[in-house]
Amino acid sequence: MTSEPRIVAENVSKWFGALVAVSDVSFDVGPGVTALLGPNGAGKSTMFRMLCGLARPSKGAVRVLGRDPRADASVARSIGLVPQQESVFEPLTAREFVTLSARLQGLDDPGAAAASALEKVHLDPSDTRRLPSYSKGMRQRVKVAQALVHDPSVLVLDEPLTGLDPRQRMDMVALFRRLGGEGRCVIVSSHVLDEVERLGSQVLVMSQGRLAAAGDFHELRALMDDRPMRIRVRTDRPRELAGALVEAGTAVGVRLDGDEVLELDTRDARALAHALAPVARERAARLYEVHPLDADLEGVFRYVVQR
Amino acid sequence: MSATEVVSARPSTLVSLVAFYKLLLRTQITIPRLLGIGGLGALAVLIGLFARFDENSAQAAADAVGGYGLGILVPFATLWLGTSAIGDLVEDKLLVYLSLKPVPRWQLPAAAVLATFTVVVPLTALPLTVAAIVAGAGDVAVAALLAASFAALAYSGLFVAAGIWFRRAVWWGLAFVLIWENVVAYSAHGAARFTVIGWASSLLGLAPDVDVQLEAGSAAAAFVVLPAIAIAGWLAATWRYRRADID
Amino acid sequence: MTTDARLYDLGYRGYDGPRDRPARAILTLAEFTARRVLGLGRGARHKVLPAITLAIAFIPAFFSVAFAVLVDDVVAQDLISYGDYMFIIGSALALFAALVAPEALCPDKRTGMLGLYLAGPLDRNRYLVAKGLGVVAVMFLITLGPLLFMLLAYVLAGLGPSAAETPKLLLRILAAGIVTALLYASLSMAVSSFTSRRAAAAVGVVLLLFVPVSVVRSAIESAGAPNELDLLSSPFVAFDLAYRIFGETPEDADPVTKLSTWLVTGGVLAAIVAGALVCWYRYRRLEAFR
Repeated sequence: MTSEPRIVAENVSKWFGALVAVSDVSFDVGPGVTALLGPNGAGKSTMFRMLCGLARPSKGAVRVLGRDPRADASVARSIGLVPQQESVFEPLTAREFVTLSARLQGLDDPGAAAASALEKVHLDPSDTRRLPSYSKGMRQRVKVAQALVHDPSVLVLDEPLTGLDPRQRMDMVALFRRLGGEGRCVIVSSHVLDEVERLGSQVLVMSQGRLAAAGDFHELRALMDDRPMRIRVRTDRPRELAGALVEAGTAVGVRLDGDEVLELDTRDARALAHALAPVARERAARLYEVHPLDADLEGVFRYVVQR
Repeated sequence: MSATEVVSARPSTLVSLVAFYKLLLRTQITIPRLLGIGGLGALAVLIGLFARFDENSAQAAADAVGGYGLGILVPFATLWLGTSAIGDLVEDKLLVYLSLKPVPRWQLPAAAVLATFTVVVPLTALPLTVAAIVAGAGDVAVAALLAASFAALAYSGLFVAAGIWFRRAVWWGLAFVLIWENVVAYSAHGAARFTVIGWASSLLGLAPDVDVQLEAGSAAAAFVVLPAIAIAGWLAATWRYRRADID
Repeated sequence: MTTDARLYDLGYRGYDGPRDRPARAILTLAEFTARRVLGLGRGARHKVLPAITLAIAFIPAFFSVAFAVLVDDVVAQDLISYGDYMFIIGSALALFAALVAPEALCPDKRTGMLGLYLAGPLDRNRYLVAKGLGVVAVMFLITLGPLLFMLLAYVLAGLGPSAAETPKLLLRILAAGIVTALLYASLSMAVSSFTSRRAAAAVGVVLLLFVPVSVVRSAIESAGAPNELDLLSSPFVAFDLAYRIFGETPEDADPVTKLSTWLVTGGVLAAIVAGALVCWYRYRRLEAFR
């Protein structure tokens, strides 16, 4: 995917008795933000645990920054993990929890590092309330703070947007983009696909333990040649436009929805885009809206996991 | 820091050990546990008070320390705290925050054993010592303190290990205490040397002019065997922790 | 305007058919509880603990029967008596009680299932009756199982009672087994009603069974407290009652052995009722929400 892979998985499999959670997955991830997507039970969390050295692959190998995270404890200094579970250390405050993380990472001034990390996620370092009294969203931000406190070059974020309100999600997405832009390797899993889209376009899609797709999701969409792209057009002369486009061969399917809306299926979105304006001019049709319906990440995701 | 290099800094052993130790002390010391174990300790003092009225108060005190103290108070208190030291972290899926750190894996189990011991001794050995003093058996008090403290150390190692090895660690610990320590220990001559209570009773036997029901061996050997059991427990816990998949 | 169009309701449908009585719900939950506690219908690892405890409880019976069958010229006095048996398996009884009642009660509170149960035809009292039935039924495996096994084996080996005495012995076994099961179930459910953590409940059950014995006997033997105080040593009072039911005398002269049979019986029944009342009171006050 990139010229400088930070995380490399080679033919990784993991099974628990008769249950195969991850099956023969290979990928490499470089700097920037990469989304790891998949339905529930796809093996994402298991994959994340192996990337962090918390679980041993049953087969295959994982390398983070060129080293085995399971065998080499020092790799943990370069990894920050936001795990999926919601539980927290009940006796601790947010600052105490993040300071503990900083201390165990060997930072010289754990208290200052913790305060800085908490401020980065818009939490008050001087708050003396214990973690169980925090809302779900606040706890999630504390988890992100403890993952960032030691300035890791690799961030593994398992559902980091869970429990956050829309504004907090925007802030968190902006933070992750910035971290990815700084050259860190950020790998995120999430179900909130429209926000994952805002993080970047690199994706890994897992389904039933296997890697179903990898790469830029726009390019993945273009590869989905057995499924025409659907484009919605709003115009004052839908029938005339539809007929002309089909005749020109740029649309392979047409659906009329009401008096103004036209849904076109095409195998060549670029050709359709070039043809649309001239054809509309010929037919004296006004174009009010042209909108691809399944070129987004959700469309790609649905296609990939349902195959 | 280079974004492509592994940074080799790690905390000093003392820093990380103390951090784990302090955390585990805070997670283990809860009001219900303090009240529960404290209540059991108070009952020990009450038993000591009853022993004062016995014709042979020193023997009665020694029987109380041996029976109630070493048979119930110390093992159950250590069971409750020791199995939960790391066991609760596993059950609550918090171990991940302590595992993904550039820290050798032996440190967390070591801190757990030390933290368990730190909490158990004041709540069990001290009340048993007070019980013997209240019974008017000062010589028994010193032996009680030694026996209970060393028993707590051995049990701490065993039960911290159980908390990592077994899902239902408390129940296995109960089976160990009830069947192995309280039945098998008394069942045959020589069986006591395979039990913690047997060796702890050997230390109790240091008290002059009292008989103890169980004696696994000499008190000098007990000073070595009981810490060795604790170390064995710590090693078993470390071995398992190193190989476990962390949730 | 007339139309052939139809709108069909595919959603929730009420049920107007016959419904079973609440007793059916009670029995269903009791059966479910018993199966859950024994690990039936669950993975193998859920069966390990109950199997081990039951095995420990049956071991003396197996050895006694094997001895009776394999050794010549065995007389009844050489074998484990019925009265002795409860005392011998006292630790296994405590372990089993520490497993059964916490497993039956605690997960419902921890997971929120209690709220779901109470949203149906089971009110708090019916819920407790169902759970109690399940727990007692499982306890019968350990309080009746080994004794019935011994009876059958001794009869087949020709060492058992005569045909005329067998029904009487059977009644005694049932009486001793039922009373012991009720006592352990009641006390362990009372302790389990205080917490949603199985581990804490298990430790609490064992402590409740053994700690009073130490304190009470110290008070009696050292400080001259009255023997009636030994009625607080619930397990040993139950063991002593078992001895009396079988017309036997224990070897050790514990304080409870000096009390009258009525007092001992009353003590056991009082402990059963006290445990049940504590459990009922705790659940009456419990807020069942998640």
